[in-house]
Amino acid sequence: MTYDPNVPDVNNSPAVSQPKLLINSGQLDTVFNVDHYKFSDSSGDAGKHRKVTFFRQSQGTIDNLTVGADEVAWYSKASGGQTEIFGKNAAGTEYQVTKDGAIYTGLRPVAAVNFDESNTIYSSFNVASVAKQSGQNYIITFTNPITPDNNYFWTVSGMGSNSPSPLPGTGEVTPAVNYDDSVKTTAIYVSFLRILNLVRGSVICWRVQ
Amino acid sequence: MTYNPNIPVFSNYVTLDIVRMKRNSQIIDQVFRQNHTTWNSSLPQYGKHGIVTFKEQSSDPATGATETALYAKDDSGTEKLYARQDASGDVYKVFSTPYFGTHIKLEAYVFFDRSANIISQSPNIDSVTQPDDTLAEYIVNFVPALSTADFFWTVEGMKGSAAQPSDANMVQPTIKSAATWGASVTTSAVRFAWQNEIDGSVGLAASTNVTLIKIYTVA
Repeated sequence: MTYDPNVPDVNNSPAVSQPKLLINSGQLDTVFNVDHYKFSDSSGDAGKHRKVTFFRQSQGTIDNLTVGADEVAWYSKASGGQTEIFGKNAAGTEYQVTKDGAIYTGLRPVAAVNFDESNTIYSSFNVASVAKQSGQNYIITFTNPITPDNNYFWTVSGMGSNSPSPLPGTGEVTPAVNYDDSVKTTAIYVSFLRILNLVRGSVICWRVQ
Repeated sequence: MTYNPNIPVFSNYVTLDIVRMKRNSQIIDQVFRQNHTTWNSSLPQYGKHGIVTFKEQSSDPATGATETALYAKDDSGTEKLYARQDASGDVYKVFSTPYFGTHIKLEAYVFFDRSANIISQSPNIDSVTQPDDTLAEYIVNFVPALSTADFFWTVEGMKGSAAQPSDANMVQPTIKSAATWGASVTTSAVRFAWQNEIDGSVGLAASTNVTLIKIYTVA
């Protein structure tokens, strides 16, 4: 049963067209109901979206897509083995909206933590624990390892105490002979080397998408 | 008046069903315009979307092997936009209103010069003040207040060309050292300073050029 755009036919009797028109009435409601609240919805939501499903478009279709001066178009196409959402503006510029299960921002935060020297975590994302070592050295362990490698970006910031002296809590990745000793996929080692007391530390890790 | 998908009926008079079919036609036109432009194919925008309103869904939708779906669902009492990606079934937040769902969000930033003149800022920066004109200590004031004082931050600076004796020890600016977090940080103001790494004294404003502060919170 599919929608027939060619009924009723002027040469048919109403009795012939009736079952075809009935199918069309039902199909309009059924097909529209896939992504929308159907025409026969009586809740007041008829016409609104349940979801917007983007069926993968071919590159040829996208190449031929013209976006009007006052329009923005979103669509999906194959990218990196997955179906990703892209957008195109009136100038024909294409931009990627999603990538690998996340919004595409080019540089994506993968871990962040606000903590103090008693290992208390005040706010975090993808951080399982903070463990103070000797001095002002800390191990920040991630909940989920950062993939695919440890070549991610980081920022380490701190706030020092005013006692015994008001030294700034400048942070850094813990100095080491090898990069891999301090920056790992499962953890990052950070230090606040010039202070005796750390009031708060902040670590943010980023990864290129 | 709602759409009736069960007409025409074989046993009805044509004149009776014509009235109902006309009503269906009018409802189709009216309902389609909720989020789309028009059925009128004489207009260039026919069939396209005007807005897309997402009604909250109770569960994640199924997606086929070559499909990605956008939809809204409840997240701690607020509808947020989500995406589900083809056969992998990955579900992720697109918007954590009013920010993109990137796990953490840039909630505030400000870029200012040695005299606390703002060069660039986020909308929630009310002002940058300087308790002492000669010193590189700055208070950044937020309106509206930050969503939390337990934020993540970066502070970066560029020194000025004017040297001072302790310049070699003047590290990059930080949140100003204090006995407690609350002494320098509240949701409405944060105190920053360029501090000397040897004695903790605040550096001279004249020895700095610009300061860039970014504050992130969990999205």
